Amino acid sequence: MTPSTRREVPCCEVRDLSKAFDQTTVLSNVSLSMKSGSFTVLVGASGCGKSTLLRTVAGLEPPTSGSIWMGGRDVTALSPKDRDIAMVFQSYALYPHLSVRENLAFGLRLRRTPEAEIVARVSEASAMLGLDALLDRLPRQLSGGQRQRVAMGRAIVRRPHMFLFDEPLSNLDAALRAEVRVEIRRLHDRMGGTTLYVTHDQVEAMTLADTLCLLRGGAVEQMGAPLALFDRPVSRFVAEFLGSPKINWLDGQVKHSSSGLHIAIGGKALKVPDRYGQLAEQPVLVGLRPHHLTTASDDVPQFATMNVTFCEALGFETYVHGTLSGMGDRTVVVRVEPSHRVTRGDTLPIGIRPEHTLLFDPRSERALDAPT
Amino acid sequence: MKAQKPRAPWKAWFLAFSLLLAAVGLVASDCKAPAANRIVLWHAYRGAEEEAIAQLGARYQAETGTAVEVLAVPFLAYASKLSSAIARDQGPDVFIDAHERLSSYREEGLLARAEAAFPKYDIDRYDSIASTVARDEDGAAWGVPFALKGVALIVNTELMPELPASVEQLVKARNDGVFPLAYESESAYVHAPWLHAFGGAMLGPNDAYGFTGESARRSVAFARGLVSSGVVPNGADGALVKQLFESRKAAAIIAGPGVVSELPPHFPYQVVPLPPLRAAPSRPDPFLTVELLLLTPRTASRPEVSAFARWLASDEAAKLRVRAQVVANNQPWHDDTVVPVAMRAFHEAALRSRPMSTRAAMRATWEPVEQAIRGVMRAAAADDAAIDAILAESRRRFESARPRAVSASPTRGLVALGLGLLLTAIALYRRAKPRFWSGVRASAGAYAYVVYATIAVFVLVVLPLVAGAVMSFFAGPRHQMTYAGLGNYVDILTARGGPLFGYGSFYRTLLVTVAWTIANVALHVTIGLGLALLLSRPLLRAKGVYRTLLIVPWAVPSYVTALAYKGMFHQQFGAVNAILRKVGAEPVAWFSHFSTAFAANVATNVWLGFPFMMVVILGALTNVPKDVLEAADIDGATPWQRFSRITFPLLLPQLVPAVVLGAVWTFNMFNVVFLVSGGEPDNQTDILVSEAYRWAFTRHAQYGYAAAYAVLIFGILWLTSRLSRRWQAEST
Repeated sequence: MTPSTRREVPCCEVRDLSKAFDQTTVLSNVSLSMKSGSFTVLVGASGCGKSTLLRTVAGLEPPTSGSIWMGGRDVTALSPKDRDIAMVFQSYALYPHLSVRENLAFGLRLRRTPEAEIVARVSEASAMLGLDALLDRLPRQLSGGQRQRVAMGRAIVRRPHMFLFDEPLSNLDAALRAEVRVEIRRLHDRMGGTTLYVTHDQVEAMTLADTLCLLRGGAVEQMGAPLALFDRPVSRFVAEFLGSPKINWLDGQVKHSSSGLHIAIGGKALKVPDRYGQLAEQPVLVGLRPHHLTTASDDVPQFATMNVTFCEALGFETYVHGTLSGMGDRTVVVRVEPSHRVTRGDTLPIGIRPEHTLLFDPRSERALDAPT
Repeated sequence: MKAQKPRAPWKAWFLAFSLLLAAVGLVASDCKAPAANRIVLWHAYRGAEEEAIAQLGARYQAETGTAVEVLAVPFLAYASKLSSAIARDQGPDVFIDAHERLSSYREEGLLARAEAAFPKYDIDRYDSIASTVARDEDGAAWGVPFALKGVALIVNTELMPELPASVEQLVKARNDGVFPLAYESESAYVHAPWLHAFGGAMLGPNDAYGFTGESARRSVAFARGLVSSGVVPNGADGALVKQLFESRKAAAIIAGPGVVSELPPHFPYQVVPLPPLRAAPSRPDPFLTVELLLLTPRTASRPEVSAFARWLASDEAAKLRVRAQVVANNQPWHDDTVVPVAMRAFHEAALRSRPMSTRAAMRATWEPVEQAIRGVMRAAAADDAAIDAILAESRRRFESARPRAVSASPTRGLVALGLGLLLTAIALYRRAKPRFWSGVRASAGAYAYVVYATIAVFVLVVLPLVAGAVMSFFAGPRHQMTYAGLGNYVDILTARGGPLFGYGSFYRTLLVTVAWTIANVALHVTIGLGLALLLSRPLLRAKGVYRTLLIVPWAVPSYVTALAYKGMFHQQFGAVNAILRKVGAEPVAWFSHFSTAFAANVATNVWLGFPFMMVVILGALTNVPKDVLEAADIDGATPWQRFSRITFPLLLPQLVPAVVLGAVWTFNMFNVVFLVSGGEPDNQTDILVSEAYRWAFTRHAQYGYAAAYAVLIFGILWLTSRLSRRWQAEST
């Protein structure tokens, strides 16, 4: 985000890319730009076109229209092998008949790299990934996590300009996933390549990305730093997609009064954050993240009363589900300190930190502060 | 109860075996007791003759109320079916067969004397030659003359209005685009008239080879002259001769009555005996085959069979079949109202013919004689010395194919067998794990599930295998086999005393077989792989149509394809040479040289075999993960590298078993070799199985010798498949 005096050539740029299979449009006019050394994550629900976009960048699918540029040249018509990329597949796609060593060396052998160089690079990668003991095994003799590491090793040894990851963690169990996630980011920082990473998991997306690109129905919904997307979603879709548990919704009405602008929700008034500036009197969709609601206390005055229907105690925090009396029947989730012992049927005084309130137009579902 | 449970499956074994035995017994007893009064007649006729015999049977049944079953048995299997069926008392009561086989049938004890049914054998009622051949050395009759078979000259009266007075005159009658004469020029049977005219005989006294000396030389030189001067088409077979005559491209042919009965109505033809050959001292008499009505031993006790046989041979019945065949009875020929003109001519020709020898050695003359004829026809030069060399070679073949008097004492064999069994038992005992028997008992339940399959495999695979292996230790014709120990094997493996890689030796044939297998399998895999890769391309349109079309060669029965290819490779009339001529190339005599005949065989078998490999590879290709190929693309593989380093290695686990299977099939691909090249030239393209076939069926019926070949083939294939398995296990 630092302004640079020289115009830097992006490592990879996608310009107005569209892709259709027969009659079905999968991508429409997608444009994105990746700086050299950046880590971009494509995220979205299944079927949003993120894998297709990745495969098109890899050269495995030809685009219907638009172009792809790498290092300042148009590579749209080039085959994958001429794009200087490496890819880690969801299924890992290891060569089943080759040992781990040969899997790693495969790409180098094809490029007629000298044998000494191959040995050096393979041992470097295997040391980096802890594969030394596995080098002579065949892929079918490895566990899922080991295969995943081999797949990454195969990408690393080639030292490409760009790494592509297609949901590389989806076949791992939760604990391993968290571990490998960190490893991937560390490798990226160490290798210094540009990474384009596809996932449907918002946690992966948030933790890994420099730049997050949220796709919806084949088009870019919002792109930016992960926290920017989280804090300032441009649409109800973005707000809902990021964050767990999901954001809470209440129906309100913007009112002008003597004390200024406020939102009326079920007879209570909620302050409109200053950044919204002047708003017309209109119905609004109010988005409140679970951690922005809390039990009423001296700091946070009571705003509503919650009728508790369900309680998730995770140990380090507790999520309480329920409805706010007099504010419609939408279910609301509140994060409370684990010290609160809450059970079903309880009533809980709820307070709001108003500065985090998000306002959306109920019809267009666009954020009221979104650039038009 | 619990202790008894595991025993129950053994009851199932016992039950299954008893059921099998009962079934075998039932079948056997059923055959031993034919339905009362039913009379079974076997013959090997086709076409008009088959119809005539069927009508006779039906008529007799209608008139007398006796049930008659008439069975037309395929000609090629006739003799062996007869001897095995009659030996088991399941054969016919009455059958019809050629007189050449009389003596071997008699030796096998398949016949009853004709006197059983014909107490007053009236020799005057039949043609005299025919009656003579039906009797043994002591004058006892073993059959009744039924029909006469021989060839005559059939002339197209439009193309040749004037009947030729001599062969020379016939040959001179030239017309554009019309052969003056067509006959099966490479058949010993149809060549025989020329041999007889020059004073020779196929079989001399004391079973000596007759196709030798001046008469044979002059006869083949004459025949070669006919072909090389374009008078007679080259290398025609029976079907082609008939086709040439019907399409009016041959003015005259030498053929039997079968051709006449299938000519279209109003076709202008006339049948005459072969005219004299002026250049030769004697008349060109064709061979005469007398078909005899023969009685089987059990007939003697059944008066209704005798009555049926008498009626079949009667003049009355002969009048009914004289339209379809040349009956041996004299009487119908005196009655002009019933005899067709063509049949009368064939009868006249038959009366002048020379009955074929009934000696068993006669059967062994055909192959060497035909090889000699072909050799002379195809030789570059045919002066007397060259012909004599070819004749000498054919004589050597005749003599080397005769069974040697091998006999050995069975004691050593029995001792070896006993020792072998003992050693096997000891080895099995030592290899068995300590708890072997308790293990067997514990899993007895599992054995119950495979008991039926085991019985089926035992009866259908193991028994024939063992029977064949046992037979390989015996020598001689079937009804008088003698124990020969390892004699057959020694004979085969020492190339019968000739040079190790000499003509027809085991090693030479093995070499040809290996070359044949490698050439075929290599082409099967290459073509199958190429097509499978094309078919697996995602962008190919109408994939299903291509796939179906490409599997068609596999779906067509192989002998149909083989016969079609044989026709296509015919030197004069085949499609391949027609195309060669069209593009201006020299036509090739495909079956005259080893390399071209071998190539023709390979072409046929490749056509038959590539779809199997294609299907196997198509299936294996679906097991190659798409993303692995994409990973290779990204790793920088060119299409060729992607195939050679990823796709092909991943195909191997499925490809190797298919190749082994394909190799075994090809190694034993009898159909193609037998039907396309037929071993030509001179058995050089024969592979081991077709060689084994010749020993069993064309060379003195040496079943033991052929069985030894079969055992050797089995051993070679078993060894190779074991080795390939080990190799595969090591490589993965």
